[in-house]
Amino acid sequence: MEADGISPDQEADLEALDQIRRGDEAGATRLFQRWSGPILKFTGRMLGNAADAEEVTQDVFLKVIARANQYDGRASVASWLFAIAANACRDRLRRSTRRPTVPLDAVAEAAQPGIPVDLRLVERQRRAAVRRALSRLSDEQREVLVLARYHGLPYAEIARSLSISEGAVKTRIFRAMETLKTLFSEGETPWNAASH
Amino acid sequence: MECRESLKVREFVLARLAGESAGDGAAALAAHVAGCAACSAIAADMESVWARLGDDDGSDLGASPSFEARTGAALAAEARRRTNVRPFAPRGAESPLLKVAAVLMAGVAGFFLARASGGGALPGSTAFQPTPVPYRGGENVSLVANRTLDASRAALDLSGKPRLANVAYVPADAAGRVAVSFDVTTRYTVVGKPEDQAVANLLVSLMSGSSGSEGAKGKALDLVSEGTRGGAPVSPEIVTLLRRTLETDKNPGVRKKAAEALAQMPPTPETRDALAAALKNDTNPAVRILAVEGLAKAAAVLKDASSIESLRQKAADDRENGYVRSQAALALSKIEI
Repeated sequence: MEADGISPDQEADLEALDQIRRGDEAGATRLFQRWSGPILKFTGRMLGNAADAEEVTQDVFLKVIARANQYDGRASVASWLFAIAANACRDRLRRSTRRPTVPLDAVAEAAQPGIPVDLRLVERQRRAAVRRALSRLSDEQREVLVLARYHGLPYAEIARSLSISEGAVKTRIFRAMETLKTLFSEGETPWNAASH
Repeated sequence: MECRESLKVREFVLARLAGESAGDGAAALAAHVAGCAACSAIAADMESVWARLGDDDGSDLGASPSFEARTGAALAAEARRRTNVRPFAPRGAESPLLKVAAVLMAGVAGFFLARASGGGALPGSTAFQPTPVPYRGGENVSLVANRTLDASRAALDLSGKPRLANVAYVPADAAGRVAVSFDVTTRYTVVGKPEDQAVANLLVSLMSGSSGSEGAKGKALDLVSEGTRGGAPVSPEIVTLLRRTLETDKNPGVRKKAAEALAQMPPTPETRDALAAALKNDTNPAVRILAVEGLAKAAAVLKDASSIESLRQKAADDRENGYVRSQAALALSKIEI
């Protein structure tokens, strides 16, 4: 599990959900503070656009308020949040005619003092290359790979979140890895390529 | 060259990378990968791709400065909006014990009510031993209990004018007993002769519209007709009701049935007067023809002048339907005085 991975304090999340059910807005704030970062990263990787990612992430938490009573406890609250986010991303991608793209100007980050400019540039290019490769996966492959690789969700949780079988999770990740291997090996300098 | 274990190796490596359990054969597969050049290459490729994905650390995917404030405000507004809506009470939180308690209370209350009411007789009825109606395929099937009343032994108090639903009739058997079934809160079947008070009361109630159904009313009239065809005596209540039906019912079909029932009864001054009034006033020729038949019978039996006079006036009425006039004339010709 990575830095932005899932280590859910399920009890705290359930308390927050209870607060929401009772109409206490503090519950929504707690869940937002706890999970907005990972959800924003997920939506960012899925949509490839920071503005869309923020918009969808906000929608996710608004939906959490509306659907707090629908949480059935079969998966962790975190998985439930990712399920809502995955659905929201799919909806957004369906409505949008364009594929998710990650232009370099969209991956600008705040200046990091102490890191040389050329090193920052290399990191940015590497990140953009990965993001571009991810954007070329199918939505189904990308969402399972992102949940497994970047958010550390176990196969079983991914399967529950997306309402698919564990076998389907493995297959999608495997195929995504095969595609990425090809994409990464197509050119050792893919980050110099223009954004498609 | 691809190793035949390559598929298992891919799955094993992927599980290891994703932090999943690699299964029982993990040690053997790890040993195989170590000793197989092709599988080592596969594992290295997958580990390389997985590691390469780590180049995307997501550090650029943080929230914009205004995101938290914007979203916080939106969430607070949504939460406030929803507090104005009646909160949804999740099912089951309080239900199991309450449901069990409610069922127990209903059962206990039902038991004592059943004991207090003496077995479910209609309010005011004479107590009787209920007899379950045997089920015969397709007949009288009801979801409520069936009780059968013997009209010769039990009275039927319908003074409260209960609504009688799902009325069904069984024609007279060899002994002249008819059966009328209906639902109140229990399904009852009253068995007896039309002249039995309980049957008569029930028929009167049905003819007066207690079932709320024209069909049930018509069938009750049919039963009365059938029962009176053999000349059996009829209760005064039925005659009164038939007369009232003949005078007031807006449905000509119902009035026709009432006229038919009256015409088939043993003639009395009451039936005669009712039929004479119908012959004079009813707008439907079919009803008037039945009145002609009844009056002819009354004239023959009662040998009274008023029946003959009614028929004579009708036969001479040039505003009357020709067929009705001819029937009246024919009836007059058959009267033997």
